[in-house]
Amino acid sequence: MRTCLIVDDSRVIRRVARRILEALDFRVEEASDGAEAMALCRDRLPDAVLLDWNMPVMDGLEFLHALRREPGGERPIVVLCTTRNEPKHIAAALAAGANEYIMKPFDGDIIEAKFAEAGLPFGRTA
Amino acid sequence: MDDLLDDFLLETADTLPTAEAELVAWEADPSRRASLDAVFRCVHTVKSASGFLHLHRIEALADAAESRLARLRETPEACTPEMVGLLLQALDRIRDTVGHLELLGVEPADDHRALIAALTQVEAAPPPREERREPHSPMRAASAEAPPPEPAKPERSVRVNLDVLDSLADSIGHLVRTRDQMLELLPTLREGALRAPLQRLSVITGELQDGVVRARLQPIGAAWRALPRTVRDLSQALGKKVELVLDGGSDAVDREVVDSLKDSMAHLVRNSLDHGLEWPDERRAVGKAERGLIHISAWLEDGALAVRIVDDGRGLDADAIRETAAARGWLTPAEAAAMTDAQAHRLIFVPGFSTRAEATAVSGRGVGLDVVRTAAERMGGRVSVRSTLGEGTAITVRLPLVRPAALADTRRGEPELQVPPLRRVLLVEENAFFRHMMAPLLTAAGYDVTAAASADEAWRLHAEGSDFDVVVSDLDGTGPGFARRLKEESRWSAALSVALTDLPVGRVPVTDDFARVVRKSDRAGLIDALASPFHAPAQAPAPGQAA
Repeated sequence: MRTCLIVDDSRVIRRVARRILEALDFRVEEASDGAEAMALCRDRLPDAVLLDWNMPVMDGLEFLHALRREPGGERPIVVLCTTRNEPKHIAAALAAGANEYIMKPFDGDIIEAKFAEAGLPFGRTA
Repeated sequence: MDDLLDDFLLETADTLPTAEAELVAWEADPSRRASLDAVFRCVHTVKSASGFLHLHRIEALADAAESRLARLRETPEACTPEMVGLLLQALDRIRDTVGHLELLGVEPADDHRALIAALTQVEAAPPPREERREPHSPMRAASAEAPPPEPAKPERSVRVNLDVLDSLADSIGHLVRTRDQMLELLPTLREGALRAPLQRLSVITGELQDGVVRARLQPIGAAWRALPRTVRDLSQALGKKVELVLDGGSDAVDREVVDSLKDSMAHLVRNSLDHGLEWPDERRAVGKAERGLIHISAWLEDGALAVRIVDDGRGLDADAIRETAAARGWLTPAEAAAMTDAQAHRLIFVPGFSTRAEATAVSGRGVGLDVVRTAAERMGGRVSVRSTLGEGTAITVRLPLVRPAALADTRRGEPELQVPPLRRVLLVEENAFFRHMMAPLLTAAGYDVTAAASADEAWRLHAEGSDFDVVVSDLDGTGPGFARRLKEESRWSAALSVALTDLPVGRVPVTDDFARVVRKSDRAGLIDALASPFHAPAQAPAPGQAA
């Protein structure tokens, strides 16, 4: 089963995202900031990361930089969540190694499409 | 979707006050970037979460606030008090909307367009601040100094209606009484097989009570979370300058204590700002810093919570107070003149007292510090004041840590059993939590209480020559050896001794029984009135030795 790590400081958003991802047959783990996410990734790299931008302790971009420097850290598909469609932000996200970005609020269709675009096809293996 | 909504309510109950506190802290000290970032993060979280829940009004307000905050992060120097005012207003409206949502399940149909327009409007040339602020860090809130709010990781909490908790406490009270009846019956039963399960029942009952007590705990700081905002708004309205320092709000106490403190703190802060602190020019003239200081601190002492608010303002004018008291006809001029300054200062807590002829917009008319005193006394606490003319005033509120309902019961019930004051009680209890809970119950029942944390400490008091009329000890904690030595070898052998094992410690904080039983047995002069079924009393009950 594919794994996805949700990184967001909002419990509400983690819960929404978990529902969506579990419906898409992901095994889901959660972290509430970048540092916590980093610890989980060192333990076991997920196939995908749904990453919030603004978080305490370690924000999304910092996490992304750190992840991509880890051994094997280039593998996970990272989709960065923003609430603002600003070219500057998007450029920064992609420069930091994000595969895709996504606007909040998102739904299952959007996530599925974005993950596919980023190269994570959804063959429901199970 | 409902549990999501609950999560959202829980989350915003946390993020909105944080955003407000951080915003006020940042305004006071613009060099504190981390505060501005925290406000942004909070507002951002509210916005994204409300988006998922289709709460469009909240989302629109948060979005407007977020875009304003994003611009402030780029050009913090463009910030004006009006702008902060708009942001605070947005937080207020979000909070109101969330409140409405919580109550009725839908967002209210309020119109926020004007506020949103004001927040999102881009100024051609932002007006510069009229005053260059040095980073003097005028607001030091514990929350703001601490590292960013705990990540919401294990989040093993849920909101519980207080009524539910109270009725749970009541049920547990009944359970305790039933358990006690069973324990009383135990010695009369020939069958010993009941002993072990009863002992387990007893322990579990105690744990249940302990749990309910803990579920009600809240950090003291919750009582003053709103104060930075109050001070900010009031000092701006009054044109006074003030630094607010908050110290030591992390100890947890019963939330009823916190709730009762909230209003009193707001009242005392208003009073300090309005009456205590001088105008900036007045302060300059007497050689004080223009910026006044209000320092609030909290600590635990002798089973009570003490909260002190100190200002470096003009201090209380004892002569003016004496004159007012005489003019009101409360005292003859001679009586008033005979009062010490300290006695005169206490008059500020008398209902209807005010040396001011005019009410002010801030403190209002006819609401004096008696409100604070009444609130404290309702909780079994007290208020004291110390002041030096020209230098400032310190007002201290002391509240017992026990649940006030328990205290009210001890006071209300059987007033004829009030013991003469200064019956000396030694309380030996190793658990600090329960020691803090029990001492005030005994104090409220009219005893002069000394608390010892261990048998060693008790024997130290013995060696120092202290004497007591009643010794209350926790047999489990201090060991049965303590009671035996107490009876057989000590100077205190004639004192009424009460073993706490009989009053399972967990019960004490939520019922009035403890003080009542001690008082009754004290009056009856019983020794070992509470002999335990599990611990043989050191000697047989013998009436009539004390009192």
